Amino acid sequence: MAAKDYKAFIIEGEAREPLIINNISKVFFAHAKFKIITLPAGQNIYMLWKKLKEDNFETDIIEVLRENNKDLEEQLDGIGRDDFSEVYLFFDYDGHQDYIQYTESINPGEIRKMEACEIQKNRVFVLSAFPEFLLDYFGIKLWKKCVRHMNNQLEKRGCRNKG
Amino acid sequence: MLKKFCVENFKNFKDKITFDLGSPSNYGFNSEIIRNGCVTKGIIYGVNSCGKSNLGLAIFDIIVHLTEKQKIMQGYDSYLNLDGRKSFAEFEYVFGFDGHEVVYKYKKKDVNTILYESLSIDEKEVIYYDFVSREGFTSLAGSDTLNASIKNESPISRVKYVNNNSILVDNTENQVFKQFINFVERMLLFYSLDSRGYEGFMNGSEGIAEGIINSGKVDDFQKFLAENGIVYDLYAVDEDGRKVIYCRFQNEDASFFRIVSAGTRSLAVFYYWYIKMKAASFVFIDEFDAFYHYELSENLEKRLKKIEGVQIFTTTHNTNLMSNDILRPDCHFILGDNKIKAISQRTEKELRQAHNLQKMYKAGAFDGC
Repeated sequence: MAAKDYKAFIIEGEAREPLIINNISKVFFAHAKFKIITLPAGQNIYMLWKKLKEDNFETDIIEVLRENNKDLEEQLDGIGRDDFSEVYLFFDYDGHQDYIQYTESINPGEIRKMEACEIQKNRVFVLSAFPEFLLDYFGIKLWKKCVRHMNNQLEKRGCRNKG
Repeated sequence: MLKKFCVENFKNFKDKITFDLGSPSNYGFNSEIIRNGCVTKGIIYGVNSCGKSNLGLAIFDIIVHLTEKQKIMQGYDSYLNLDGRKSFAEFEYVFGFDGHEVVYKYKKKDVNTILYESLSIDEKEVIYYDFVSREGFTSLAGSDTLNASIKNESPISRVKYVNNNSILVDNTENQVFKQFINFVERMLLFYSLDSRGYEGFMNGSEGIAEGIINSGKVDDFQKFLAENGIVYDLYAVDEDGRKVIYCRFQNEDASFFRIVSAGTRSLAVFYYWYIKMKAASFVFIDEFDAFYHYELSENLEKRLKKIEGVQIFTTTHNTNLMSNDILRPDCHFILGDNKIKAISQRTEKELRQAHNLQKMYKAGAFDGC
């Protein structure tokens, strides 16, 4: 009788992000009892945020996506707002976009400054929400998960130290 | 269909309270709930002792003097409002039948004593009687001969009298009158507890098991329970002349009602009426899910929603049901402060399907207006 458990990953990119999520699912959630459903945020995730804010956060995000994107009707057919136990929004920072029109709480100028600083030091600046999500989800258990995954990989390749 | 109901000075309703089912909003979802401009399914919420059960009794007061159906007379003790200034309670029903409007008004001193009644069809008063001055008339074609006998001491409702004693001519007005009587005869109020009885629709005290067996629905009942996560292997037996449902077990079979939980017992009561209510006109289920897990309540509401052509209203304390996935903002009613209003009328905000109504309700968004 219990509904199936779903977790929604709301993302901007429709090409690369689903692949990353697919890989994360394979590594970290292969035996999970829930299903991850990846949903496109639409134009960009800041606009979605703005819409939710305009609704005074009295709307359900899944239904806001559904009402703004007819393509989701098929993907979400038979799945209701209450079937999702968690919803994760993955914000992308794109330097070329002007975010100030969407939100004042995120300061793109500062991120740009950090990025420039890292480039000057010949280091790659990585800003991704996915590792943050994993850390948030698993907490300290993330490291155990990583070690177990690495062990599995080594075992598969036959180079695990059996002693 | 019942379009509107008003009552005043009855039980806790000191002032006039109006239950409006004939002014739905224009939502583009769950539109099958609205038929002929009437709300056909609704859920009534409200704090304890706000009058949810009394609203049911008030709507079904019409059963008492217009029909010979089952009545819950003990429910009508303390009939008048104890703070009221008037010595009578006033009722008004507005019905719609195929584009025709029937308005039935009456005043009563107590549950059995009518002081005044008036019936209008399409704004024309067709039956009127003042039981104090003993004056009145009927203008329904075929009932004219009753005009002499109608002016007597009998306390019986003149609407009921006309229906029982006249051979009405077959015309539109009389057809609407018959539709009205037929609607009232098929109204049903029940509680989720077997012991609290029912009002309207039929007579007698058929047992729940007996009713399910008589309808040949034991297998269907087993399937219904299983769909709601309760698995039993059931069969019917005749025990000392009584029809009883038994459950099969490995060691020893047992009588269904002796072993099941309060929730399952309540579900059996629901099922008993569920298989009958397709023939009803207006159903009121008081505290229908008091014993149910929230998922079970949702399943049952979704089942009720599928019953076409029957107006079904339930009362509950389960705000999980306050969702656009089940009904719409104009079908979730809040009763409080001697008012009953749909949540769409309790906020100036334009509500959309995406709104989380339960969250808004808990945050007090529907406390205004």
